[in-house]
Amino acid sequence: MTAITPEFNGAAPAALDEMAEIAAATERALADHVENLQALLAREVGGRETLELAVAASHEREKRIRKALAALEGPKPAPEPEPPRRGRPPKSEGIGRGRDNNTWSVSQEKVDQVLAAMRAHPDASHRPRMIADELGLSMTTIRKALDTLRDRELVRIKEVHPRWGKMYALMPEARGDAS
Amino acid sequence: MPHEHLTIEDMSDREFLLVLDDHADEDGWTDSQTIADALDLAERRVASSRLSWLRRWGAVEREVERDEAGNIRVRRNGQTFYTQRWRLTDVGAALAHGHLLARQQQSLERLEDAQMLEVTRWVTERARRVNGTAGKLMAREWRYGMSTRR
Repeated sequence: MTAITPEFNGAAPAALDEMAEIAAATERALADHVENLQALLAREVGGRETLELAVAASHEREKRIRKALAALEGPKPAPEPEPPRRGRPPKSEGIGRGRDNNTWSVSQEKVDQVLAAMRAHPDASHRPRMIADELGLSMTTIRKALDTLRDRELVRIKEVHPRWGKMYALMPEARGDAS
Repeated sequence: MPHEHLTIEDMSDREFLLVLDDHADEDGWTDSQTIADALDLAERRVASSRLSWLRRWGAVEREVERDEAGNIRVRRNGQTFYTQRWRLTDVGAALAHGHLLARQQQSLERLEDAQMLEVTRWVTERARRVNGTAGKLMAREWRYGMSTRR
Protein backbone atom coordinates (compact mmCIF):
# COMPACT_ATOMS: atom_id res chain seq x y z
CA MET A 1 0.00 0.00 0.00
CA THR A 2 1.45 3.27 -1.09
CA ALA A 3 2.10 5.51 1.87
CA ILE A 4 -0.13 8.53 1.85
CA THR A 5 1.81 11.47 3.25
CA PRO A 6 0.72 15.04 3.87
CA GLU A 7 2.93 16.05 0.90
CA PHE A 8 0.72 14.06 -1.51
CA ASN A 9 -2.85 14.97 -0.71
CA GLY A 10 -2.94 16.34 2.85
CA ALA A 11 -4.85 13.37 4.45
CA ALA A 12 -5.06 13.77 8.24
CA PRO A 13 -2.65 11.50 10.20
CA ALA A 14 -5.48 10.06 12.40
CA ALA A 15 -7.40 8.75 9.37
CA LEU A 16 -4.23 7.21 7.99
CA ASP A 17 -3.65 5.43 11.29
CA GLU A 18 -7.17 4.07 11.22
CA MET A 19 -6.79 2.81 7.68
CA ALA A 20 -3.49 1.18 8.57
CA GLU A 21 -5.10 -0.50 11.58
CA ILE A 22 -7.95 -1.84 9.43
CA ALA A 23 -5.48 -3.18 6.87
CA ALA A 24 -3.44 -4.85 9.59
CA ALA A 25 -6.55 -6.39 11.19
CA THR A 26 -7.67 -7.69 7.80
CA GLU A 27 -4.28 -9.23 7.17
CA ARG A 28 -4.32 -10.85 10.61
CA ALA A 29 -7.81 -12.28 9.99
CA LEU A 30 -6.73 -13.63 6.60
CA ALA A 31 -3.62 -15.14 8.13
CA ASP A 32 -5.79 -16.84 10.75
CA HIS A 33 -8.04 -18.27 8.04
CA VAL A 34 -5.06 -19.48 6.06
CA GLU A 35 -3.61 -21.12 9.16
CA ASN A 36 -6.93 -22.84 9.93
CA LEU A 37 -7.27 -24.08 6.37
CA GLN A 38 -3.72 -25.37 6.39
CA ALA A 39 -4.42 -27.24 9.62
CA LEU A 40 -7.60 -28.72 8.08
CA LEU A 41 -5.67 -29.71 4.99
CA ALA A 42 -2.98 -31.41 7.05
CA ARG A 43 -5.66 -33.27 9.02
CA GLU A 44 -7.40 -34.36 5.83
CA VAL A 45 -4.24 -35.61 4.16
CA GLY A 46 -3.10 -37.33 7.33
CA GLY A 47 -6.51 -38.87 7.83
CA ARG A 48 -6.58 -40.16 4.29
CA GLU A 49 -3.15 -41.71 4.64
CA THR A 50 -4.34 -43.49 7.77
CA LEU A 51 -7.37 -44.80 5.88
CA GLU A 52 -5.22 -45.93 2.97
CA LEU A 53 -3.01 -47.87 5.36
CA ALA A 54 -6.10 -49.44 6.90
CA VAL A 55 -7.43 -50.41 3.44
CA ALA A 56 -4.08 -51.97 2.51
CA ALA A 57 -4.04 -53.91 5.78
CA SER A 58 -7.60 -55.08 5.14
CA HIS A 59 -6.60 -56.36 1.67
CA GLU A 60 -3.71 -58.28 3.24
CA ARG A 61 -6.04 -59.83 5.81
CA GLU A 62 -8.49 -60.75 3.08
CA LYS A 63 -5.70 -62.50 1.12
CA ARG A 64 -4.68 -64.50 4.18
CA ILE A 65 -8.26 -65.50 4.94
CA ARG A 66 -8.85 -66.60 1.34
CA LYS A 67 -5.66 -68.70 1.42
CA ALA A 68 -6.79 -70.34 4.64
CA LEU A 69 -10.24 -71.05 3.14
CA ALA A 70 -8.67 -72.52 0.02
CA ALA A 71 -6.50 -74.77 2.16
CA LEU A 72 -9.43 -75.95 4.28
CA GLU A 73 -11.93 -76.43 1.43
CA GLY A 74 -9.44 -78.32 -0.68
CA PRO A 75 -9.25 -78.29 -4.48
CA LYS A 76 -12.55 -77.44 -6.16
CA PRO A 77 -13.86 -79.80 -8.90
CA ALA A 78 -13.54 -78.51 -12.43
CA PRO A 79 -16.66 -76.65 -13.63
CA GLU A 80 -18.99 -78.44 -16.02
CA PRO A 81 -18.14 -77.57 -19.61
CA GLU A 82 -20.71 -75.36 -21.31
CA PRO A 83 -21.74 -76.28 -24.86
CA PRO A 84 -19.72 -74.36 -27.48
CA ARG A 85 -21.14 -70.91 -28.16
CA ARG A 86 -22.10 -69.63 -31.57
CA GLY A 87 -21.45 -66.08 -32.62
CA ARG A 88 -19.76 -63.42 -30.53
CA PRO A 89 -19.13 -64.29 -26.89
CA PRO A 90 -21.28 -62.25 -24.49
CA LYS A 91 -19.80 -59.32 -22.56
CA SER A 92 -19.04 -60.19 -18.95
CA GLU A 93 -19.30 -56.75 -17.27
CA GLY A 94 -23.04 -56.77 -16.58
CA ILE A 95 -25.60 -59.45 -15.78
CA GLY A 96 -27.49 -58.68 -19.00
CA ARG A 97 -29.86 -60.94 -20.79
CA GLY A 98 -27.13 -62.68 -22.78
CA ARG A 99 -26.39 -62.16 -26.45
CA ASP A 100 -27.56 -64.57 -29.08
CA ASN A 101 -27.01 -64.15 -32.78
CA ASN A 102 -29.89 -66.49 -33.58
CA THR A 103 -33.08 -64.72 -34.54
CA TRP A 104 -35.46 -67.66 -34.09
CA SER A 105 -38.19 -67.52 -31.47
CA VAL A 106 -38.77 -70.28 -28.98
CA SER A 107 -42.15 -72.00 -29.32
CA GLN A 108 -44.94 -71.40 -26.84
CA GLU A 109 -44.94 -75.13 -26.13
CA LYS A 110 -41.35 -75.00 -24.91
CA VAL A 111 -42.03 -71.86 -22.87
CA ASP A 112 -44.98 -73.65 -21.21
CA GLN A 113 -42.80 -76.68 -20.47
CA VAL A 114 -40.18 -74.56 -18.74
CA LEU A 115 -42.81 -72.69 -16.71
CA ALA A 116 -44.43 -75.98 -15.67
CA ALA A 117 -41.07 -77.40 -14.61
CA MET A 118 -40.47 -74.35 -12.41
CA ARG A 119 -44.01 -74.48 -10.98
CA ALA A 120 -43.34 -78.04 -9.85
CA HIS A 121 -40.91 -76.49 -7.33
CA PRO A 122 -42.35 -73.02 -6.79
CA ASP A 123 -40.02 -71.97 -3.95
CA ALA A 124 -36.76 -73.15 -5.48
CA SER A 125 -34.00 -71.30 -7.30
CA HIS A 126 -33.85 -72.89 -10.74
CA ARG A 127 -30.64 -73.48 -12.60
CA PRO A 128 -31.04 -73.43 -16.41
CA ARG A 129 -28.82 -76.50 -16.77
CA MET A 130 -31.03 -78.54 -14.44
CA ILE A 131 -34.17 -77.50 -16.35
CA ALA A 132 -32.49 -78.44 -19.64
CA ASP A 133 -31.53 -81.87 -18.30
CA GLU A 134 -34.99 -82.48 -16.85
CA LEU A 135 -36.81 -81.54 -20.06
CA GLY A 136 -34.23 -82.89 -22.51
CA LEU A 137 -33.93 -79.50 -24.23
CA SER A 138 -30.87 -77.54 -25.28
CA MET A 139 -29.45 -74.75 -23.15
CA THR A 140 -30.15 -72.30 -25.97
CA THR A 141 -33.83 -73.22 -25.95
CA ILE A 142 -33.98 -72.97 -22.17
CA ARG A 143 -32.33 -69.52 -22.17
CA LYS A 144 -34.72 -68.29 -24.87
CA ALA A 145 -37.68 -69.63 -22.93
CA LEU A 146 -36.48 -68.01 -19.71
CA ASP A 147 -35.91 -64.68 -21.49
CA THR A 148 -39.47 -64.89 -22.83
CA LEU A 149 -40.83 -65.67 -19.38
CA ARG A 150 -38.83 -62.78 -17.91
CA ASP A 151 -40.26 -60.45 -20.53
CA ARG A 152 -43.73 -61.54 -19.45
CA GLU A 153 -42.76 -61.05 -15.79
CA LEU A 154 -43.52 -64.65 -14.95
CA VAL A 155 -39.98 -65.45 -13.82
CA ARG A 156 -37.17 -63.35 -12.41
CA ILE A 157 -33.48 -63.60 -11.67
CA LYS A 158 -33.25 -64.63 -8.03
CA GLU A 159 -29.48 -64.84 -7.73
CA VAL A 160 -26.29 -65.06 -9.79
CA HIS A 161 -24.07 -67.95 -8.77
CA PRO A 162 -20.33 -67.45 -9.32
CA ARG A 163 -20.10 -70.86 -11.05
CA TRP A 164 -23.60 -71.61 -12.33
CA GLY A 165 -24.57 -68.11 -13.45
CA LYS A 166 -28.15 -66.84 -13.33
CA MET A 167 -30.61 -68.71 -11.15
CA TYR A 168 -34.30 -68.10 -11.73
CA ALA A 169 -37.43 -68.09 -9.59
CA LEU A 170 -41.12 -67.63 -10.25
CA MET A 171 -42.64 -64.20 -9.87
CA PRO A 172 -45.17 -64.02 -7.00
CA GLU A 173 -48.15 -64.05 -9.37
CA ALA A 174 -46.81 -67.01 -11.40
CA ARG A 175 -46.78 -69.40 -8.47
CA GLY A 176 -50.51 -70.01 -8.79
CA ASP A 177 -52.50 -70.14 -11.97
CA ALA A 178 -52.73 -66.37 -12.48
CA SER A 179 -51.70 -66.68 -16.11
CA MET B 1 -16.47 -63.19 -13.06
CA PRO B 2 -18.14 -60.76 -10.64
CA HIS B 3 -20.21 -58.11 -12.36
CA GLU B 4 -19.10 -54.54 -12.16
CA HIS B 5 -22.37 -52.83 -12.91
CA LEU B 6 -26.11 -53.46 -12.74
CA THR B 7 -28.09 -51.38 -15.20
CA ILE B 8 -31.84 -51.30 -15.65
CA GLU B 9 -31.30 -53.38 -18.79
CA ASP B 10 -29.56 -56.07 -16.71
CA MET B 11 -32.24 -56.33 -14.05
CA SER B 12 -35.57 -54.58 -13.59
CA ASP B 13 -36.32 -52.60 -10.44
CA ARG B 14 -39.02 -55.11 -9.57
CA GLU B 15 -36.57 -58.04 -9.76
CA PHE B 16 -34.07 -56.10 -7.67
CA LEU B 17 -36.68 -55.25 -5.03
CA LEU B 18 -37.66 -58.93 -4.84
CA VAL B 19 -34.01 -59.93 -4.33
CA LEU B 20 -33.85 -57.44 -1.45
CA ASP B 21 -37.03 -58.98 -0.05
CA ASP B 22 -35.62 -62.51 -0.45
CA HIS B 23 -32.83 -61.75 2.02
CA ALA B 24 -34.74 -59.56 4.48
CA ASP B 25 -34.57 -60.31 8.20
CA GLU B 26 -37.66 -60.44 10.40
CA ASP B 27 -37.79 -56.63 10.45
CA GLY B 28 -37.45 -56.40 6.68
CA TRP B 29 -33.85 -55.14 6.63
CA THR B 30 -31.22 -56.42 4.18
CA ASP B 31 -27.53 -55.56 4.08
CA SER B 32 -26.37 -54.24 0.70
CA GLN B 33 -23.37 -56.62 0.80
CA THR B 34 -25.81 -59.55 1.00
CA ILE B 35 -27.49 -58.33 -2.19
CA ALA B 36 -24.09 -57.84 -3.85
CA ASP B 37 -23.12 -61.42 -2.91
CA ALA B 38 -26.44 -62.84 -4.11
CA LEU B 39 -26.05 -61.20 -7.51
CA ASP B 40 -22.29 -61.86 -7.79
CA LEU B 41 -21.55 -58.14 -7.96
CA ALA B 42 -17.93 -57.04 -7.80
CA GLU B 43 -18.48 -54.59 -4.96
CA ARG B 44 -21.10 -53.57 -2.41
CA ARG B 45 -21.35 -50.14 -4.03
CA VAL B 46 -22.85 -51.63 -7.21
CA ALA B 47 -25.87 -52.70 -5.15
CA SER B 48 -25.76 -49.52 -3.05
CA SER B 49 -25.90 -47.38 -6.16
CA ARG B 50 -29.20 -48.95 -7.28
CA LEU B 51 -30.53 -48.81 -3.73
CA SER B 52 -29.71 -45.11 -3.50
CA TRP B 53 -31.73 -44.41 -6.62
CA LEU B 54 -34.63 -46.53 -5.41
CA ARG B 55 -34.54 -44.65 -2.12
CA ARG B 56 -34.69 -41.36 -3.99
CA TRP B 57 -37.86 -42.57 -5.69
CA GLY B 58 -39.35 -43.82 -2.43
CA ALA B 59 -39.29 -47.57 -3.05
CA VAL B 60 -36.78 -48.39 -0.28
CA GLU B 61 -35.62 -46.79 2.95
CA ARG B 62 -32.22 -46.88 4.67
CA GLU B 63 -31.69 -47.74 8.33
CA VAL B 64 -30.46 -44.92 10.56
CA GLU B 65 -27.69 -45.58 13.05
CA ARG B 66 -28.62 -45.29 16.72
CA ASP B 67 -26.57 -45.03 19.89
CA GLU B 68 -27.00 -47.23 22.99
CA ALA B 69 -29.83 -45.02 24.20
CA GLY B 70 -31.68 -45.44 20.91
CA ASN B 71 -31.09 -41.89 19.73
CA ILE B 72 -30.29 -41.33 16.06
CA ARG B 73 -26.60 -40.60 15.57
CA VAL B 74 -25.94 -37.30 13.86
CA ARG B 75 -22.74 -35.72 12.58
CA ARG B 76 -21.65 -32.26 13.70
CA ASN B 77 -22.94 -30.82 10.45
CA GLY B 78 -26.37 -32.25 11.13
CA GLN B 79 -26.19 -35.15 8.69
CA THR B 80 -27.54 -38.46 9.92
CA PHE B 81 -25.44 -41.60 10.23
CA TYR B 82 -26.84 -44.53 8.27
CA THR B 83 -26.09 -48.24 8.32
CA GLN B 84 -25.71 -50.42 5.23
CA ARG B 85 -29.15 -51.96 5.67
CA TRP B 86 -32.16 -51.25 3.50
CA ARG B 87 -35.77 -52.34 3.34
CA LEU B 88 -38.84 -51.98 1.12
CA THR B 89 -41.24 -49.15 1.80
CA ASP B 90 -44.97 -49.84 1.53
CA VAL B 91 -44.91 -48.50 -2.02
CA GLY B 92 -41.84 -50.59 -2.85
CA ALA B 93 -43.49 -53.73 -1.48
CA ALA B 94 -46.63 -53.08 -3.49
CA LEU B 95 -44.58 -52.58 -6.64
CA ALA B 96 -42.53 -55.72 -5.99
CA HIS B 97 -45.42 -58.02 -5.14
CA GLY B 98 -48.31 -56.43 -6.98
CA HIS B 99 -49.79 -58.30 -9.92
CA LEU B 100 -52.67 -58.32 -12.33
CA LEU B 101 -55.63 -60.58 -11.74
CA ALA B 102 -56.09 -63.37 -14.27
CA ARG B 103 -59.13 -61.68 -15.82
CA GLN B 104 -57.24 -58.39 -16.08
CA GLN B 105 -54.42 -60.11 -17.94
CA GLN B 106 -56.86 -61.88 -20.23
CA SER B 107 -58.55 -58.57 -21.08
CA LEU B 108 -55.20 -57.08 -22.04
CA GLU B 109 -54.27 -60.14 -24.10
CA ARG B 110 -57.44 -59.74 -26.20
CA LEU B 111 -56.59 -56.16 -27.25
CA GLU B 112 -55.55 -55.65 -30.86
CA ASP B 113 -52.35 -53.83 -31.81
CA ALA B 114 -54.16 -50.58 -32.65
CA GLN B 115 -55.94 -50.67 -29.30
CA MET B 116 -52.62 -51.25 -27.55
CA LEU B 117 -51.43 -47.88 -28.89
CA GLU B 118 -54.34 -46.23 -27.11
CA VAL B 119 -53.58 -48.22 -23.96
CA THR B 120 -49.97 -47.03 -24.17
CA ARG B 121 -51.16 -43.42 -24.32
CA TRP B 122 -53.35 -44.04 -21.30
CA VAL B 123 -50.48 -45.68 -19.40
CA THR B 124 -48.08 -42.79 -20.07
CA GLU B 125 -50.69 -40.26 -19.04
CA ARG B 126 -51.34 -42.23 -15.87
CA ALA B 127 -47.59 -42.44 -15.19
CA ARG B 128 -47.45 -38.66 -15.25
CA ARG B 129 -50.34 -38.36 -12.83
CA VAL B 130 -49.44 -41.00 -10.26
CA ASN B 131 -47.17 -40.24 -7.29
CA GLY B 132 -43.45 -39.78 -7.88
CA THR B 133 -42.34 -43.28 -6.90
CA ALA B 134 -44.80 -45.24 -9.00
CA GLY B 135 -44.44 -42.89 -11.97
CA LYS B 136 -40.68 -43.08 -11.99
CA LEU B 137 -40.65 -46.86 -11.65
CA MET B 138 -43.24 -47.17 -14.42
CA ALA B 139 -40.92 -45.24 -16.73
CA ARG B 140 -37.99 -47.45 -15.77
CA GLU B 141 -40.09 -50.60 -16.26
CA TRP B 142 -40.83 -49.39 -19.80
CA ARG B 143 -37.15 -48.82 -20.44
CA TYR B 144 -36.29 -52.28 -19.09
CA GLY B 145 -38.98 -53.95 -21.17
CA MET B 146 -37.98 -52.20 -24.37
CA SER B 147 -34.23 -52.69 -24.00
CA THR B 148 -32.61 -54.51 -26.91
CA ARG B 149 -29.84 -56.07 -24.88
CA ARG B 150 -30.61 -59.68 -25.66
